[in-house]
Amino acid sequence: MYDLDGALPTGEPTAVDAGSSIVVAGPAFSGQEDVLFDVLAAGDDHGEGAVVVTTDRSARKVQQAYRDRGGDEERLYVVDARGGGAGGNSGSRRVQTVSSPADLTGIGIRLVQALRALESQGVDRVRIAVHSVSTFVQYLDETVVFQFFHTLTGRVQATDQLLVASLTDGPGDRTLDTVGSAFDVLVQIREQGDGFEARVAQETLRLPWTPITR
Amino acid sequence: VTDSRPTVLVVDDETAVTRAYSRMLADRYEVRVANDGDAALDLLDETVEVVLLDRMMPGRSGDEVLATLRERGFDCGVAMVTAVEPELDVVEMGFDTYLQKPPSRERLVETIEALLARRDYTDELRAYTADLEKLAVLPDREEADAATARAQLTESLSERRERLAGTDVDLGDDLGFLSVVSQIERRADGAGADGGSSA
Repeated sequence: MYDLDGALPTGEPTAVDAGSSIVVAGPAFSGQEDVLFDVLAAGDDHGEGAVVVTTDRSARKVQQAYRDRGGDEERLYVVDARGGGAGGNSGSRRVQTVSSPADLTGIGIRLVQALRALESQGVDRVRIAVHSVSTFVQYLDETVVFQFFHTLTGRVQATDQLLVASLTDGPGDRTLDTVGSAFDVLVQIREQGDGFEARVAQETLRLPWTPITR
Repeated sequence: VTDSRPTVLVVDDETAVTRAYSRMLADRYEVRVANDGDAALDLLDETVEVVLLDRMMPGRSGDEVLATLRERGFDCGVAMVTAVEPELDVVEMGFDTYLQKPPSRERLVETIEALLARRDYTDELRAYTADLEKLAVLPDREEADAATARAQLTESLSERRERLAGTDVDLGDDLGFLSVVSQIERRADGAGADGGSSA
């Protein structure tokens, strides 16, 4: 099991099985990014490691978000796959860059290298985060993005790790219907009045919409 | 099923080596043999599912054969046969895995079977996503028609999901995972080159 320690806006579930994959979906600026980092940093208290594949935020901001939640950066690896001239050497062995979200092989290799590095530090329980699925869809066909995430969730299941990914679900977007189905647990956020509410859907568990308090 | 044995192409400049491979594999696979890069490319067609490719050959090297093979759009699983242990780099070079020389029969069969399982997985995955996409655009179609189509697609999807789960793909293995990912990326590029423009 992986403890979520109240990281989800619904409070429940408080833990998920090893090998699970969670997608956190909501409209822009609805806080799905915070949920992603909360889930990730919840593992730090249990001595777990973290690998973040970012196509959105800089590696520095990812490290900051992890630190802000009390995470130990020695156990955080970042694969920076933002497009558009990012790339080059970061100067840190815990940050590796890939030229574009479309370079799936490059992302896979850096991810595996990060997992091996954590293993050599004695850390084999790892939470892998992808921020965000929506950027991949801008670079690749949705069917290809689905295939990639299906393979990644399969990998996480085979290695008993945990995957959490964020997805921006705008009006008319179909990404959640297609790519979203590659995940086991859906955390969905939507606008409600002046704030937001969230619900969780899992194969056996379906929780009602709950207002988000932050 | 028995008459459709997978075709394996073995490429090595030493005839003693290719003869040994043929002997070890003939009972399970349809084996084709090439003793240089040009012959390998001549023997290559859609039916070849796995290539065992020697890296160091006089004339056209293993790397060149691989590059040409991928350029021509062949999507078979390719194992680099090498004296050294190249590790993860092989995937970046376009290979799916490597075999250290000299491989035992057990190791040869194990590698070929792993490559075949990965292909099964990506084939099933492609078929699955094709259905998924059809389902996603269904609401745009006429209603009476759509209900039947939806029922059929839903059934097909659940069958495919089971077949996908039933493949022996080794995603927990680093090279297994990476070669599947690179195959997905390669096929995506291929689809783009065919003129599949996104709406």
